[in-house]
This record gives sequence, structure tokens and C-alpha cells, in this order.
Amino acid sequence: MSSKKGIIYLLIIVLLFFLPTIIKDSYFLYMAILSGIFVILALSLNVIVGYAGQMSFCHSAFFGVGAYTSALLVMNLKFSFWLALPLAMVAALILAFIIGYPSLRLRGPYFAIVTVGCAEVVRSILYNWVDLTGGPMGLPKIPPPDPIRLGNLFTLTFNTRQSYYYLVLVFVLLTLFIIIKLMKSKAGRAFIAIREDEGFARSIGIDIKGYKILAFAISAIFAGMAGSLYAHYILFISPVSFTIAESINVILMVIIGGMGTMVGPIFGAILLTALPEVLRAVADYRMVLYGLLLMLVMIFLPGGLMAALRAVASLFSKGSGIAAKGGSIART
Amino acid sequence: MPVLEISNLTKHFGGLVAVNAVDFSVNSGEIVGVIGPNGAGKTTVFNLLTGVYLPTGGRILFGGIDITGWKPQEVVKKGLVRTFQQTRVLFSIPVMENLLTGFHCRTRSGIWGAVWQTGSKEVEDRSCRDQALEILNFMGLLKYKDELARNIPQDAQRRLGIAVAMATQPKMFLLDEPTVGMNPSETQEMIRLIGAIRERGTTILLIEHDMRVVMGICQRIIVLNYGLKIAEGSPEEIRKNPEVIAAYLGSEESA
Repeated sequence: MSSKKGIIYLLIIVLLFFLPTIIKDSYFLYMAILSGIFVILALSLNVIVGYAGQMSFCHSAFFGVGAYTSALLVMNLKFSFWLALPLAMVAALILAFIIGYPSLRLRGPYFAIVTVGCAEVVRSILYNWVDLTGGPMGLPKIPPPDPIRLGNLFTLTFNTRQSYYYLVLVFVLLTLFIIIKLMKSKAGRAFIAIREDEGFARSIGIDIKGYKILAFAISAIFAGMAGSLYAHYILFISPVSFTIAESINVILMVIIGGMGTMVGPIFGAILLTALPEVLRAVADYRMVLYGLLLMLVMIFLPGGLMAALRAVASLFSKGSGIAAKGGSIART
Repeated sequence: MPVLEISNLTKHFGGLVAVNAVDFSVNSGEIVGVIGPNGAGKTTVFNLLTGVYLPTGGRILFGGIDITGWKPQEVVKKGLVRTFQQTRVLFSIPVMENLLTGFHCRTRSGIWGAVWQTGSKEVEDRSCRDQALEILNFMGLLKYKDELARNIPQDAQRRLGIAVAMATQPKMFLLDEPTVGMNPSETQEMIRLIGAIRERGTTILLIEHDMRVVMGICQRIIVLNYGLKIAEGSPEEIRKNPEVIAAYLGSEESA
């Protein structure tokens, strides 16, 4: 069973590597790259929201700080992108500690409200610190990532959509790999225990505050990475891209896909990036449809798309599977 | 030899004195019961011992070390672990995962070990899995190992709560009404298990309302009323103690 799954995942990865040679449409690649960046955002938000169970609205702040840090280091201090990217992650991490350390002692809705405030503070700073960030005018002319040179033999540039697609794909896979490993580890179990029952988690020796901060930090690091990838792809950033609405957008990706699952947020991110394009004809109603979609998912599929897929899969599986399922339902 | 010694333990909540200068000690290998009417301060004592509440005054010695004011996770790591009166487990994950979560404070592999799958982590994972299976078998939960915790019967969930706590490898257990809401045969099974846990070398302090349980398995009983320790002794002595009878049944004057 698990080896069968492994083969399917391997096939998907191979397919993703050949995708730009199959579909050569430039607009499609643009959407694929943007989806990839949002997949990183959704996967990382899922760590704090889906696994540790703490609703956070300041993912846009980490995304924004990552984007601005990376862009400013490259433009003003002439740093290489390859150094600016990890520094963007560090900047997001530092912000996570500043926000998380005092606020993660709060529970549930109180923590969520603090994160709303923090997202707004960061956006205001980006908006008003005109000397550094360009304020509402944003930062234009961000250079693309520096080429990788291996002697004189081989040069890898990132100024085409195709090459940037591969760059983002590698970072998506790296993020996925690290987050899967972490969620299967001691830390991942601690996050789930905190989400399920804080008092119980404390009684078995889990440091509640420490692990909440860890979840928040992991979440922020990858959001910072996504910010850097975004800035050097779009080549123009402004505070408009890093508002609370952006946080909510990523939260929707996680919820619609399936909180606390690995594949769910990936689906959610691709769906919600592609959907506004598909619905371009009714672009003005985009947010109305978003809201409607969220409501329908919460009412009919409280576990998100993943839960729905699992339910469908179990319908199609062989008799023994259904019997086992029936048995477990009968007992509840 | 005393494992746990508490002296002059006091807790105020504003003007209310929930626990008032309580002293007692528990010897290694004993099963000691704590009884008292509702609101006597039994659960508050547990919360003080496990570091959830900070005592207003007094001292807690565990294994000869002063653990007063320690954080809950430090107390658990030292080997003093509680269970809850309500059924509390991680309902949405499988029984086996519940157990593995219980090993949290006994595993070392950190974030790097998890990402790079170091050899030491694999050895540790295997050892946790083996121990988890052993505990599940001991608690009669092996057949439920892959079920979600929410899908197993109520009495199995209660045992699972204790099994997860056992995975933390406690030297001493604080059991908060382990038989509350159980039918007589389930209660008998729980009494047998508590005895068996003691046989494995874990000292037990038990809060219990069911007198059959307390009188049946405790070597010593401590009685609390309005935050004060009003009696301590063998089940025989407690049964005859006039103050205890008054506290439970109401004395002539108060009636």
C-alpha cells in the first residue's frame, strides 16, 4: 500500500519536472510558479494552524518581511540572492520570536487577535517607512536571482519563466520534505497533542509554550522563503501584497484543502491560485465565490477536500476496506 | 523510604484557602488514597504537585529533591505523572500514536535527527514502538492499536489515558478518580490494573470516591476536608474515625 503510494508520488514529481516541456504556454507557467509559492505558504501555515492548532493571521507579515528583506539586501547592499534568501528566512524567524514569545501564552482566539494586530503593524511599517521600503510606491526593479556558474562549463540562469519554475519546484519539494519529516517526529506529535488538548499535553511533559513557539518559528521560516522567491519572481513588491487579506487567503487554502494533512494544503493552494483565473469572467465576484466556497466546505466537508477524497476512495476500495470502516463506525 | 514528602502545602485562590498547610508523605511502592468530600482540595493538591499551580506556601520533595515551583514538564521528566478524572486522550489520532506521543519526554532526537533520519533516531523509534506495544498489551488495548482513539469504547479510552501516562515512565503515579463512571466489572478490572502497575514498581497516589476501591487497594488513606488534612491511617482506622464520618455524613451540630 505505502509502496504503491510512493510510486504515485514519484510519478507526480517526474510529471512536474517535465511539465514545462509538455505545456509551453507562458501564462500557464506563470500560474504554476505562483501556485508553487502559495503551496510553500500554505504548507508552512498548516504547521501552526493545522498541526499545532493555533489560528494565525500574520502569515502575510512573514511573507512580506521575507520579500522585503531579500529584495532590499540584493538591491541596496548588493547581496547575492543565494545569501539574501536564507537571510530573509532568518528575518521572518526573528519576527516570529518577537510576535510569538509574548503572545503564544495566550490561548485560541486571543492569540488569533494578537496576530491580526501584528499583521497590520508590519503592513503599516512597510507602508510608512518610505525611505527604506518605498512606501505605497513599493520596490520596483528587483533583480532576478543570480545565475549559478560551475566554472566556465555550465551556467544556470533564472531570468526565464521555465528556469524559475524549476527553482520554485525545488524549493517546494524541499519544504515538503522537511515539513513531512518534522511532522512525523517528536515535535510533530507534540504539536498534535497541543492542538487536541493542552492540559493533557502538559500532563505528559510537553512544554506547551516552547512547542507553540517552535511551530510558529517553522511556519515563519518557510513563509520568509516564499517571500524571497516571490520578490525575485514578480520583480516588484508593494505593501498591497502583504495585507491581512493575503493571510486569510492562505488560511482558506489550508482549510479548503484540509487542515493537518500534508496533501490538503497543496490542493488548496493550487485551487485558490487557479480559481480566480478560471473565474476571470466574474472577477468582481471572486471574493463572494471564495466566501461561498468556504461556507460550503465547512458545512459539507469539515475535514476539507482531503477528507472528501478519502471518503470517495473508501467507497471505491474493496469489500474488506468497507467492512473495516463499517466496523469502526458501528463502534462509535 | 519516602518518595514524596509534602510539608505545610498551602494554596490560596484570592480569599479562599483551597489547601491549608497539608503534610503527608508517600513511601516507595505504596498505594495511598486521598479521599474527601467534593471541594475538599484533592484535585488542587494534584495540580500543586504537578506544577500546574504554584503553591502559596510549603514544600514538595520528590525523590529527595525539592520540586516546589518546577514547571509541569520538568516534574513529568522527574517521574511524577498524573492522570485526569475526565476521559482525556488525543481523540483524533490512532491509539498507537497516542502512546508514541507519551514517550515525548523520554526521547532525545531533535529536529535535525528528524529531518536527516539519523541512525540514533531510528534506534530510538524502534525502542519506543516496542515499549508502546508492551504497554498496550499490559493495558489490554493491543487490539485497538490502529483505531482512532475516539472510536474505541469508553472504558478502553480511560485505560488509554493511563497507558499514555505510563509511556512517560513515571516513578510515581497520581491517579485522579480512575474508576469514576465505571460499572462494577470495569471497576474490578481497573483495580486489578492499578495493582499490576504497582507491581511494575510505580508508587501510586490515588484520589477516589468509590469506598470499595479505596478500602480494597490502599495501604494508607489521607482524608482532606475544606483544604485541611483531618485524618490519616490504615483503611480500618479511617473507617472508624469519628471526624471522617462527620465530614462524610454530617455531624450532629451541622445537621
